[in-house]
Amino acid sequence: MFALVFRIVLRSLITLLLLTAVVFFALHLTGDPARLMLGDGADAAALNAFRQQWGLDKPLWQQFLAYLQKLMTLDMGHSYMTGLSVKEVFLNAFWPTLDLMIPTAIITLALGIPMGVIAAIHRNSTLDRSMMFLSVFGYAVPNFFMGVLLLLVFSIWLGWLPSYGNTSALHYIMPIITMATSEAAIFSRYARSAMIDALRLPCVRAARMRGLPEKRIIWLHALPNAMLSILTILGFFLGTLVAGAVITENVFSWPGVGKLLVQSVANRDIPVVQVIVLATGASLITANLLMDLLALVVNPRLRRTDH
Amino acid sequence: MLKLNQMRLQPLVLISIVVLLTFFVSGLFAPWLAPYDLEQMDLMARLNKPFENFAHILGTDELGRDVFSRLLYSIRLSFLLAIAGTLLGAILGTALGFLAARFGGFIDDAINASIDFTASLPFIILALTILAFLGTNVTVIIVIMAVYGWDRYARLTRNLARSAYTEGYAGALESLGIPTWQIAIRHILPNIASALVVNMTLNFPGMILLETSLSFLGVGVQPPMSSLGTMLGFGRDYLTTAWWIAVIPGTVIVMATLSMSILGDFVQQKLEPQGK
Repeated sequence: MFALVFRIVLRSLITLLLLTAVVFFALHLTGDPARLMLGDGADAAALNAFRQQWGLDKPLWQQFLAYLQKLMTLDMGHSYMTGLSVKEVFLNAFWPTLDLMIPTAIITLALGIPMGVIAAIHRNSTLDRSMMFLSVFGYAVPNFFMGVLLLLVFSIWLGWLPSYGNTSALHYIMPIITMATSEAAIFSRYARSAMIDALRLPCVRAARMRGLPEKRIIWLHALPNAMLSILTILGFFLGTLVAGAVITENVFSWPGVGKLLVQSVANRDIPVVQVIVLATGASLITANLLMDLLALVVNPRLRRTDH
Repeated sequence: MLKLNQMRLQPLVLISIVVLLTFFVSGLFAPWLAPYDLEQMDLMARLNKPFENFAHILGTDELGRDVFSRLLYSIRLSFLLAIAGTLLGAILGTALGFLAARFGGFIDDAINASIDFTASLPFIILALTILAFLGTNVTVIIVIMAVYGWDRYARLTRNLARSAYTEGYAGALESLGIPTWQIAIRHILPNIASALVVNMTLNFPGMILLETSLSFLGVGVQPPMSSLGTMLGFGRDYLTTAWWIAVIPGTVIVMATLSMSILGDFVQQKLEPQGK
């Protein structure tokens, strides 16, 4: 048991370190930040001064060690563009993104799980088919187009909702709807297949043969098993939420991490991009780690076998 | 992935095929079909509404450029990028998966670690990071699209080729002295061809969505070139005066991804009846 937990944690740490290294080296090997920031016309003295200022004149491995050391102390450097501390820039963008992600996650779970489970129970019925068509449709409408359509109808034609920013509660409605539709579409499909698998389990078949009432079979035998497999994709779910936020924030000019990321990519503001990628990666790795550990807690079967 | 199997798909599949063929043909023959050039401006006819006059059937934008012509060229580029990305991704993934299976050991570990690594981040974040390293141009976009989804092909090929090597015919062929590349292409590839085709069709909508998302965000296809995403992103700025600039390419994206999803599901059902 302890060995298993240890292995899971170790794997996460290695992935995290790998991510840090890949991001750091890739970003530094593919372009000279000094030249990027100062332009091709900059003279050698200015380039050298810039390199010295950011420690770019040292060998790459030294820069990497220095970078790791700074990360440990949560010092993330400064933006090449604005000179502001990256930590500050990132945190300012982080809270608005969280404001968007939490309600979206709640709506997605509250909508997606029941939809998928109901579709699975009534498998092959008209209800199931129409819900699954809706789900495919929700997936096919990209977030940015959904956002643009909502903007067009509710801000421009009807004038009911504000189109950009995050200053009032009304501002939250369209971004959350935009994100939640595609999320719920994806999620309901996973919930449906999880429930279908659960309904095929021997314990469910046995319960059926014993003549237990259908309600009891679903609530006590199938659903808990389905929830176990749903639990394992929650880490992936967080990933899709982040991806959705990147697009949605840019549609609605939401001052969050997604907007910051796209801006920084356009400006090639490497320290900011680096921190956003690392923070996203770290939170996903942590989420997956927690889900793996939680799965061990709630599903004793996993503890016996060593995966 | 998509659970449409149970539906009576035939009419839907037919419609999807017609839609996709229309887009393919429009894209392929865009330079001949488009009444105007991509950048041709008609300042006398700015912000014309769609379906109002025959000169500009889908209207014009704020520079008087013909939306229908721009749409055709955008379909051409978006489809071209998605097809190139799909093919390159399939080739890259299959080749690496085969290498992992054939050589095992360190190579296998490294390829597996890369598969896990690719899957550990949301792809749009990875794509944006690559764009930050390499800057924005069409070659970089093709690289990104090739990287997108390579892990699925690699995993697929690796598992199949490995079982062929450990217990099956590939080991026998090897001992007969047949060169590795011949085993790969003549003997293993035909066995995974149908799974590859299924994967490619299921992956295609994702490709379209990836490219259009990046272009919409302004870090994908850059003007003067135009993709469906570029058009939509551009149209977003003129939503108050000219909704059609954004809505028309958006509708095309939805029709393309929806049709491809339906078709992909149908192909999967035909080629892999035993699969999910």
